[in-house]
Amino acid sequence: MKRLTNYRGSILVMSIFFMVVLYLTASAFLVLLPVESRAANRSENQALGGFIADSGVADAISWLRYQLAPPDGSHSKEPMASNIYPSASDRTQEVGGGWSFRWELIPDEQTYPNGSNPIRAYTIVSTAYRDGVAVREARAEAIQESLAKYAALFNTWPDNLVWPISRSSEPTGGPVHVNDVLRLWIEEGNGFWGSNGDPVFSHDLTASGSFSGSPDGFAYYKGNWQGTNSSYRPYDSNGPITSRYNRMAAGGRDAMIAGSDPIELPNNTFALRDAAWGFETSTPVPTTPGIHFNEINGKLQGIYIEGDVEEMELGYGGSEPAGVGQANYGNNSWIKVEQPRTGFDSIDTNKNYTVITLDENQVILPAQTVVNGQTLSSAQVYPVDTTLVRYPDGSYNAYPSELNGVVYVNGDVQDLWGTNKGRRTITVEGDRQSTEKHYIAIGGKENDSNGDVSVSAGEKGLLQYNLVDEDGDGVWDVPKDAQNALGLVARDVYVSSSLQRNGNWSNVHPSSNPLYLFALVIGGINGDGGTYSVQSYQTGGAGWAYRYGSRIVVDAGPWGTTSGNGFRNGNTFFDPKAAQAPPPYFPAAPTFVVKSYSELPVMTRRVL
Amino acid sequence: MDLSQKTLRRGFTLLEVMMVSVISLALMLLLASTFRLGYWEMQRSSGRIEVVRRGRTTIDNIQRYLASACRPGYRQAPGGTGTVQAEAVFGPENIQDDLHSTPEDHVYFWSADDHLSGALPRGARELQEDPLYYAFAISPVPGEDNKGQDLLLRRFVVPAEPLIPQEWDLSAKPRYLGRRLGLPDGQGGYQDAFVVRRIREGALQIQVNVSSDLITDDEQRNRIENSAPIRLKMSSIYQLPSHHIQ
Repeated sequence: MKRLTNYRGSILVMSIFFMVVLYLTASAFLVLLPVESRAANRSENQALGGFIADSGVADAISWLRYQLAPPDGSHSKEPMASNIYPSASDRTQEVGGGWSFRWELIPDEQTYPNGSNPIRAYTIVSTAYRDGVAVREARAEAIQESLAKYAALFNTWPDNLVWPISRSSEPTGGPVHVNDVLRLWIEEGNGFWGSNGDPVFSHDLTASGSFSGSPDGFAYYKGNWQGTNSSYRPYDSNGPITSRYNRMAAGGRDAMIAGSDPIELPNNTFALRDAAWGFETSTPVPTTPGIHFNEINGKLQGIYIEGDVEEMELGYGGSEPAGVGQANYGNNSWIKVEQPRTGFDSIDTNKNYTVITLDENQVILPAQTVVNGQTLSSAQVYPVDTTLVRYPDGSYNAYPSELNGVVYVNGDVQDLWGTNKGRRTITVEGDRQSTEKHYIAIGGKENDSNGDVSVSAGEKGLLQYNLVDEDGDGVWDVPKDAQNALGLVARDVYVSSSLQRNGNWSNVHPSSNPLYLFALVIGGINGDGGTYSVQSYQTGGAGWAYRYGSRIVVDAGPWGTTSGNGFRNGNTFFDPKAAQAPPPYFPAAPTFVVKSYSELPVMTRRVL
Repeated sequence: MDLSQKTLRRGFTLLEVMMVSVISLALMLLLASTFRLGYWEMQRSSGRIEVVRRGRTTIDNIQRYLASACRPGYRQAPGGTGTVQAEAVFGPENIQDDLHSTPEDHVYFWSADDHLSGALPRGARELQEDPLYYAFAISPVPGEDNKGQDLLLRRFVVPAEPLIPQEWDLSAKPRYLGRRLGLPDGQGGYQDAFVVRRIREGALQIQVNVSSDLITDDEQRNRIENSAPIRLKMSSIYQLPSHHIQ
């Protein structure tokens, strides 16, 4: 057997063996040791990713606002229009440290280009990337903020107008804002401060203006403006009087803020015109007097009325002559319109337009009724979800879909009254650059033979279907839902002086027969003025009126006088349900509110 | 050092072979011992990591749900005077900037998503027209068999506005966000699994306390042998999304 005679290098082999073993051991420790450190790094990355994804949501909302209300005052742009919506790279923002975010907007089914609701709603998806790899994703459900959320919003507040506050004042129920100095009047002075009751401004009270010399920025009639009596203001020489502020506002002094940001009101009503006629239609708007309808893809839009309206009555049920008999409308909602034209000017004698929404019952039109130009040989049943239109000559048109709730008038509504059933917005044309200034006058049932307007209960003002008085105080309760919410949008919305009798308010609208006004109102066009007020408020004694719903007003207008004329009695109630679900197409602010938000790690690999 | 020709010719002596064997054996034993120690430490570390991971996972779970917190509308003001725009988080009520103040053990928050039903999230328009918001609580309960405390996500019954929720909704099965948390209270039970301070408007400091007393590793050695159990306080400051800060 051959003997190995050369052992050179054996030590080297052993050394290498041990070094390899030690290297592997050290490597194993190097791998094991930073486990906790890496876990902490992952957490830090996830937290940072969350903040960056959140930044993307904020950036998207900021971009949306910029499109809808360009700072340079130019016309608003449709954010999802193909020439407006930015490319992916323009929606991507580097934020340093290898981080970036990218957002995208997903419009809901009613928002352009899927729909045409001017209250836009989007799902905002914002993804945070680290070195180009997605880490975290935020999803926000955002919708344009409705102006209906305010109990009262005024653009300008005249310096001879006061907001009266008394022991009987109902809590506002919603936020109040004035883009001006707000002038308050504590009617009873110490009698009010010492009284029990919930704070009058139950939600935030903000004003963009600040009254010079007032510690809180608000003017107080007789307290620090047109008088210096300390019983008419909530502070004295020692500073705020906590109990007074608490009586006046929920949250006390801190809830009353002067010098806040202004809130912009609409410049025109064109979005509502488009809603009534259709956003994406090549059919021009009608120019002949009368009532008009447009269908897009078989779907009826709103009601378009060309010319002034002499009387517009809202109601439900009843019947009208049709064919050889009567058409019974069951419990269905309708709107009747008469115009100041011969043959179209009498609801009393059925010489008017009637638009019936079959929202609850089918309707049978008897034989010999002319429907869509054809004479029925036998009675015809029209199912729920149909819209019927009766013309002054007794003929009908039938549409197999429901209206979208918008009534647009290219003229004045000289007398609006009735009981609203269903969700509806009535508007008249208004534009800051237009020389025509249209209005809606709230009145009562007109006697077509002599033009008198009724002041009887149920025949005046604006009521709502399904009202109840559960507390038995003799005053209708605030509606429990928004199913019958009514919106009014006009440059001027008046309570008509036709509701006076011999120049008197107090006798014809006593506490036993008050005027009810169930409507969310936008009175005024930004840049053109306009208001929501009472005609002839200076005289006639003090009548009773109860208002329900938001008041969005460009120029705050008077409802009465401090001396006791006009509608000085009654109360104003916020309608929270209607504020949350405003009437169809009720104008919105260019701001967005996030309704829900979620944020999760990205579990699948995605890169920029 | 060079080996002599004579040595090469003769080969190793017995003594040399034995010395080499002994040294090699010693080195192998040393190596084995080092590996054993390393493996033991690795497994002990696994136990430590389990403690850390349990706390961190719990915090991540909490943040996942808190991220959906949003403002629901108008509710009773704290203290009951009037109604205010409710905040996304309605418990703890009081701001505790002093970190030595008595903390709370719960977070109550509103969300538009029903995390316990698996229903799809609703869109903004749906939420606007039918503002249905859910109220949730994250709070600890005693663990099974007195094994620490479990952290649960539970749903409240939402009363009509403007009241604030107070009753549990028993129709919704709670979800575990963390188990076997907390520190021994010295009386055979556990406490402080979840410590919450509202340090300023819109921010919550949440702290999860975990202990190696309650690790579940099968191998007993993974416990901390012959030393005091690990107590870890893991905290995080949670910021509400900027859109929901009051």
